[in-house]
Amino acid sequence: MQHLCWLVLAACITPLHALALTAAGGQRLALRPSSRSPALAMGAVRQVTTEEFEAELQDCATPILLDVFAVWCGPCQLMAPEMDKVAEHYGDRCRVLKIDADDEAEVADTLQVRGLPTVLLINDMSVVMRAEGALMADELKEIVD
Amino acid sequence: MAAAEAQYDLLVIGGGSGGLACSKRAASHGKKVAVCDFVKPSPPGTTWGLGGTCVNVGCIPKKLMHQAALLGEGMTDAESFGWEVAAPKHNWETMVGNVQGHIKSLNFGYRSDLMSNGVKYYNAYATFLDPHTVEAVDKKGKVTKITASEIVICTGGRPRYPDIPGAKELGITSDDVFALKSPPGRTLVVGASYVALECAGFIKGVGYDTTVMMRSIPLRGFDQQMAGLCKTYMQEHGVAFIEGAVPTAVEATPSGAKKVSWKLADGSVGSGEYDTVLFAIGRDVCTSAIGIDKAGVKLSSNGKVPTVNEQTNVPHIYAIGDIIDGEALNPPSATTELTPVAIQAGKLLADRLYAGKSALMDYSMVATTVYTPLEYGAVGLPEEEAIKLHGEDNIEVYHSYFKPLEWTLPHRGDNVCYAKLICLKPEGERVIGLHVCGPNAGEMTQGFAVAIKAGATKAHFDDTVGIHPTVAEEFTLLATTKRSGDSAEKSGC
Ligand SMILES: Cc1cc2nc3c(=O)[nH]c(=O)nc-3n(C[C@H](O)[C@H](O)[C@H](O)COP(=O)(O)OP(=O)(O)OC[C@H]3O[C@@H](n4cnc5c(N)ncnc54)[C@H](O)[C@@H]3O)c2cc1C
Repeated sequence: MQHLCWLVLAACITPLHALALTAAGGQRLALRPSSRSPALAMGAVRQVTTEEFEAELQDCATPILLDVFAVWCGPCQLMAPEMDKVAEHYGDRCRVLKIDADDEAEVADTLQVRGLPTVLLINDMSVVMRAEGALMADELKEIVD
Repeated sequence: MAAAEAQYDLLVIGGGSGGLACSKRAASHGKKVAVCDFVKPSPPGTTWGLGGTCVNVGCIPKKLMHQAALLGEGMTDAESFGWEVAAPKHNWETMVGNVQGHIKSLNFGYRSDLMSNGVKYYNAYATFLDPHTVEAVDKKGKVTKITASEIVICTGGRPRYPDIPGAKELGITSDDVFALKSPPGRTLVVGASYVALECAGFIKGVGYDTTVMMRSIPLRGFDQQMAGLCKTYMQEHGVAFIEGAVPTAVEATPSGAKKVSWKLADGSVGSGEYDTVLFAIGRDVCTSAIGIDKAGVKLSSNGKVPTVNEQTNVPHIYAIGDIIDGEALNPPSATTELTPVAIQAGKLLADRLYAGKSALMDYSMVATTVYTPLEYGAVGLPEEEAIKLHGEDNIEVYHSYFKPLEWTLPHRGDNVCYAKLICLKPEGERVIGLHVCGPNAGEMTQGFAVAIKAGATKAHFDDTVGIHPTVAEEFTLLATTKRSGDSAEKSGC
């Protein structure tokens, strides 16, 4: 349990279409239709941009486990291999994605990310679980299950 | 597309040291608050995230790079303490990468802080449309019209360029140096402000040939005896100084270097080739491009904002931080342009506006430290100011040179470090100025600043038992007055 120092596990149900991807100006980001098949690289963690994330959101077939991280964040590096394990474990049953909080700051703001790493479980365009702080693969799986 | 509109109790223009502190405090009092922060790229194109000057291109990166230089010095000293180390090599890219990584983490922290405090953040440039309304434009050109009952302006300042050919095209400033992708190489620093000397100090300290070009005196506004000690130490540690000179042109050479021409006070001219030319000749406040006339706010001739208790001439518009006119304060203050000053002023203002408090910002006796290779810490008046204000007869100056114990094994200079207390005789030798050149000057000065704020006299210092062995204990041992003419130097072995 050594990495759980900042763990805040909150089963807050935030519907993303209600909350919406709101840009800093209060304007709703358009949810563009998916331009690429999200089913390409199942079983591995995929890093996404804002646009790609929006496209993924539209696809409600499988849940999304999203890791919001930054390159300067030590605990994020610690958790990266754990995310790999999780992605491998679920294969095409769960999309395991990560997004850089510096490069895609609007997404991080919209998702109310206040500490890194933040892991979000998104189902049907809603955030159903969130946890802050580095987690081990087992703990990440608990979130998904 | 019509501009979006939003309405707040308080709008803060500028998300730097002052603005962030003020906005969070106001929100904590239950107010609806927004912050606009936008960084216009520097002429070479450097830009950065939320947090203002201090975090991105000021205090934070400069202290980290100063530390890089100190570590180099420490590694040289290490040999005399028995460490057998290969000659150290410095990697500029690693330093810049790690410093920038840390800054990004701070940027993230500020964003998340605003979120947690319920402050709305607009990453957009604000200009006044009228005294209660600004237009905020983000980097995609999206416009939001924001109205607010009260507005705090804290737009800070940016480095000034000299008006000479090639300056903007070929030169850089402190806005760029902390993010320089490749090593600076042979560097010319133009200016003798604290920013100039600090940059020259760490650039030399991590291994690059460094020259400082100064027009007149070093560290204007600071105690000149102390400024002299800082400069001498730099000279003795290999920083070259071209004195009494102003640059006249910068040109690119075929080899990709920069040829700088200058003019000396006696009319003669000179020139030299450098890889990097860094201008640190002063800063201009950002009050000229924010439509301040539409708000009706009056400015001093230097563009700064005259304030009384942070209030401008327009009752619902306030100013804090670097943009306020220290000269126009009562009493005038030379220490307005410091991060903790902006923060304190911002918090107190929010407390007065929204929490019924009455505490006012006290701009006097603010401690500060210059991170030159030999650090210089100061609280209160420079000696020349004290004499001007109170008369030479009413001032007693106690002083001493000293050598930190840690410097003895590596045989670093005698009589390099120096401490002085400036005391006001008619008030029982109350300390009105404390100055120290030595290692960890900032750490020392911070503690003494509390005592001085509380009205400490020379007798309080004398009654205090020192901590041995420290550098700071020197202040409990000061026995020589300047008036006596006795030597303040310590003799060798
Ligand atoms: C090289 C250097 C080293 C320094 N070292 C120290 C130190 O060691 N200790 C110390 O105490 N101080 C230091 N300072 C000074 C310190 O950085 C400043 O005093 C402090 O940042 C001032 O805070 P501020 O809130 O007034 O403005 P800033 O921190 O400058 O913030 C102003 C912000 O407003 C933004 N802005 C401007 N106009 C607009 C607009 N129209 N709309 C939206 N946003 C706008 C700017 O981009 C900026 O982000 C240093 C400064 C420099 C340059």
